[in-house]
Parts: sequence; structure tokens; C-alpha cells
Amino acid sequence: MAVLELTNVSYDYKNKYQTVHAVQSVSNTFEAGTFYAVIGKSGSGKTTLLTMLAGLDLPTSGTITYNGRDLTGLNRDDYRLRHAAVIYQQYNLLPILTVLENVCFPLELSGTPKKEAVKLAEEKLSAVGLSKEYHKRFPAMLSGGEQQRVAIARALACRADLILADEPTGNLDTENGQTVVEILLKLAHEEKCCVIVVTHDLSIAGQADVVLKMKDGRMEAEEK
Amino acid sequence: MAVWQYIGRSLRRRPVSRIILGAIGLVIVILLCVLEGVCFEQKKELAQVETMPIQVGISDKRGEKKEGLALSEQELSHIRDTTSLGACLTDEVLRWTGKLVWLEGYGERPKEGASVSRQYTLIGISSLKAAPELTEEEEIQIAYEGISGRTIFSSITPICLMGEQRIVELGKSPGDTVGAIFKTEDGWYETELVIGGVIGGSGAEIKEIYCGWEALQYLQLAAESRGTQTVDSLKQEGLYHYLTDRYSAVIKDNGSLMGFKAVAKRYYSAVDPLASVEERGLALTVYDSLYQSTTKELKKNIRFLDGLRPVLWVAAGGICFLAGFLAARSRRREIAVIRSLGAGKFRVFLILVLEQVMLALLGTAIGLGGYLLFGGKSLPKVWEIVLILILYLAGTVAPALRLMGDKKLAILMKKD
Repeated sequence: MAVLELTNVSYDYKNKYQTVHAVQSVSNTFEAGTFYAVIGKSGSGKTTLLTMLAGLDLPTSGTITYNGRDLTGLNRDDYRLRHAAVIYQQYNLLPILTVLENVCFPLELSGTPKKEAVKLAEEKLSAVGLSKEYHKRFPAMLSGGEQQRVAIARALACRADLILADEPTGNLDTENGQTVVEILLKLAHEEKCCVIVVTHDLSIAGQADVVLKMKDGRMEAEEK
Repeated sequence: MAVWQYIGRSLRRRPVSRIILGAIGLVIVILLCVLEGVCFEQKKELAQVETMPIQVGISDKRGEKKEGLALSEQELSHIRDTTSLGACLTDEVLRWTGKLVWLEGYGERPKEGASVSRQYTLIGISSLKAAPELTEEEEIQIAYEGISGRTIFSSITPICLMGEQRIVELGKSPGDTVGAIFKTEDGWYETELVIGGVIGGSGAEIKEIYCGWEALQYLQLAAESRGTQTVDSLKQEGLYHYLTDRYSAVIKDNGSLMGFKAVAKRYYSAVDPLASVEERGLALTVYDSLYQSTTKELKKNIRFLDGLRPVLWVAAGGICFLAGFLAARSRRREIAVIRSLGAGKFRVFLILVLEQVMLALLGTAIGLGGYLLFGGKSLPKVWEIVLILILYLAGTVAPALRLMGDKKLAILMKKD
């Protein structure tokens, strides 16, 4: 069964002067245990698409269903908290929290007891290769690659079955970028998560199970 | 993570920006405190000045007074014909000063520069009664003696002031009438005098009663109508001296001073120092130059401070709103991150608002504490502080509500 299903999804940006059709009639399904790469030029609508998949915004028209349920009818706070984790190019860690606290934060939001949250967070940080010495550091004290790994650990800690990543390697050097991709691949193939990565990086696309190409808001082709 | 824990971390880990925000509240509160304090001091001083005794004097020694109002001979005669100068004055003194009046210069003429004050209570005014000829000398109860004539509460009714001791002796109390007999050259005349006041203090032992000069005037006219001289004293010392050697009162309510002066002016005209003694008439002097100069300055200051208050309020309100607004707005991404991680709008709203409330309260407390520590005396009113806090919070809530919308979460996808 498809984790996510898009049916004629469109998204328009409107301002005083014009309407931009960022995403136009996109239909697709996303399966668990698969690593998807969405590629396309800047302005092709791939990030807008990811924003909708993450429940950060709703489509102007069309439907997105998660495990058969329309996102519009779902509690999207809960959807983001428990089912869809997002990894951003800008990492978007909370600067006032330590590495460990950043990973614990969504867990505690979902009501996980603190001790359990800390234990789980430590596990996930370890899984992304961040040892204990990093736990009490603040994001500003980490390199880009390290921050991105914290962001991934935060996504993993949520135990979400849907991992959405927007240019996760965009700010990283090749080595760190590859580490991140490997973690994401592992998530898809071992944890049976549905991983959708928006990227310009063709090397990531080359490692993906499915590559989706966006152009002018439309999904042009699907390659495997 | 509980809301409070997050707020705690936020306050601990952003000390500089938090301190700046708190300091804004602090500075504003101190400014308001100072303004309030200065205003309070000025008003207190004004209140003290407004209750300072202002002497109102009537004198026929007009040349000695630099300021004052005097009654022309013509006006005096007019008043004599229709009503009484003393009555006018008494009524006005009563109206503007209330019951409590000080008479200065009562009794023995004070030495140059000396001032003797005694307190009297005016009871009221009753109507004039006829003074039938006395037929039986035994009925004389109180004889009007001497020509003191110095301290007189006048009215068209014969009111008298009496020493406490005398009142006790007579078994009377203020407001009662006493029979009085006046001796003239051609005999005795009887009238009734209302005990208008008690001479207390060192005047308590005084046994004489002092009646209004109208009563004397009445007697004088009565005597003249009989083709006789008036009372001995008048004959000896003359009317003016008799009437108004010195009569002064203190206006209790200085706020009414101008009203009193305006009314008094109807009865008195400017003194003409070149006029002969006979033509000078009576002078009313309100010794208020110090009062006027002091209050003028104080009122000017208070007007300025009162004018400054709304300006400061607008500025304070604007700054508080802006501080809250900028503080919340600078956390756009943070709010979006928290929301994207699944925190509900209400939880995020609570984080922002409670944090700002704590900062605002902290800043206010430090501001007030600092102000009091440095000798501040008057605090702003509670509603003023509450209003400042509300403005501060309004500045937080307005952007917070806006930033919490789902549409704003797209900021997370922006690549700087």
C-alpha cells in the first residue's frame, strides 16, 4: 500500500500581480522502503511539492493521502509529529537547545517520558555517528555536516515512516554529503521508511530507487 | 518538552537579547516612575502652598499698602445706604472661606511686623431686631463697652463675638442671642445680639462682647434720628477707626482666591494714596503675591509634566509594542521549526507569551526596585503598569498569531 498518494495535486502562489502555478496536476504514489529522489531545475516546483508532502502547506487543488487518509482531514500537527519527519537544507535546529535536546524535543512534544526520550535520542545520535561528546554542544558549535546529522537524528527519533529531505546535502562537502545519503538509504532499505529527497545533486539521484523529474511544476518522468 | 522548560532554556540561553528586552521595560518603568514622582512632588508642593494662609486685610491706612482694593467714599456711602460693607464682606468671607476664619490683629494693636492670629467660628447670621428703648435699667444684661471696634464680624444683623469666659458666665452658647444695651448721650438703647463666635485662646478671658459695626451704625443712625450724638466711642474716635481699624481673615481655600477677589472688587475700588484720609475709604488687601508667584511656577511645571505624560505614554506604548513585536518577529524561523516538529499553535503561543510576560514582569520589578532604591517616592498607578504590560504583550501576540499560521511554515524551505 502506498504511504503517500498524490492525485492531481496543484499549488498556486498568488500575489497582487500574478499567479504562479508552482505545481501542476502532479499524481504519484510513494511506497514504504523506497528512496525517492525528486530532481529538477530551480523553480521547477520540487520544494513546493515537498512542502505539501510534509504537511507544511496544503495543495490548491487535488488530494494528498497518507495511508489512505486525506491530509486535509488529518491533524497536521500530529501528522508532522508522528508520521512525517523533514530534513531541511538549512538544518533548522533550535539554536537554544543542545544537540541532545534538539533530538529529544519532538519526542517530548509527543509525550514520550523524558528518560525514554533521552535514551532514544542517544541511540539515534549514535546511529548518525555523533558520539556523546556532541550531545551537550549547541548547533552553532557544530559543522554543517554535523548539524545535518543532528537533523537526521531528530527525524529518526520521531520514528516517522515518512522522511522528507530538502537538499539535505546542499550545504555539505562531498564526504559529509555521502554520509548523509547513506544514512537515508539505510533508513529506506533497513527501516522500511519512505524517503523522499529533493535534490539538484545527480549523484544522490544515481543512488535513489526512484527518480522523479520536475519541470515547470509538472512531474515529467519517473526513472528507476 | 514542557512549555516552561523551553521558556527556561530560552531565557537562559539568550541572555543578551532577553536583557535588552527586559531593559526596555525597565527604562520605561523608571521613566514613568520619575515622571510620576516629579509630578507628585510638584502637586504636593502646590497643595501645601494652596493651604498656606493668605491674609485678607481691610484697613483705612491705605497708603501703607502697595496692593489692595479700596472702597471709594461714594461706594461706601452707597453701601451704607443699601446694605452694609461689613455684611458684604462677611458674607463673602463666609462663602469663600467656610466657617473657619482667622482674624488677625484682634485685640491690642500688634506691634510693627508682629502678627497675632486667633481662631473664631462663625455661626451664622440672623435678622436684625428692633431696639426698643429701654425703660428699666435693671434689665441691662450686657453693656457694650469701650471702643475697641477692632475685630468685627459684620452683618446687617448685630452679631457679636464673645469671650469664652463671658459666655460661660451668661450660660449661653454660640447662636444664642443676648440682650445688649448701648449707652448714648441721650440715654440707653437696647438691642439683641446673636453670639456669632467665641473668642478663644488668649482672648477667652475677654469679658466684652464685640458687635458688628452695622449694629453701631444702626445705633448711630438711631441716635442721629433723635438729633443726638451716637455712642461715646464714635464721638471720640470717629467712625472709620471704629469700623475697620484692622480686620483680616485667612482664606482657607486658596483655590477660591480669585473668586473671592473678584467678588470683593465689586465692593472696593483702588486706593488713591493721594486722597485725603477722609476720602480714602476702606481698603481691602489680599496678601497673595507670594502665593501667586509660587503657584504660577508650580502650575506651569505641573502643566508641562501633565503634557509630557501622554507623550511618554505614546512613546512607552510604542516602544513596548515594538519591542514585543520585534522580539517575536525575530523568532520567525524558531516558531516555524517548533510548529513543523508538530507543536500545536496554542503551545507555541504559550511559549511566546509566557516568556514575554516573565520578561516584562522582571523588567518592571527591576525598574520599580531601582527607582525605589534611588529614592523614588511615588510609584506609577497599577493601571499604568498593567497598560504597559498589555502593550508589551500586544506587541508579542500580534506577530505571534500571524507567524503561527501554517502558511508561514514554508519559511523553513527557504535557502538563505
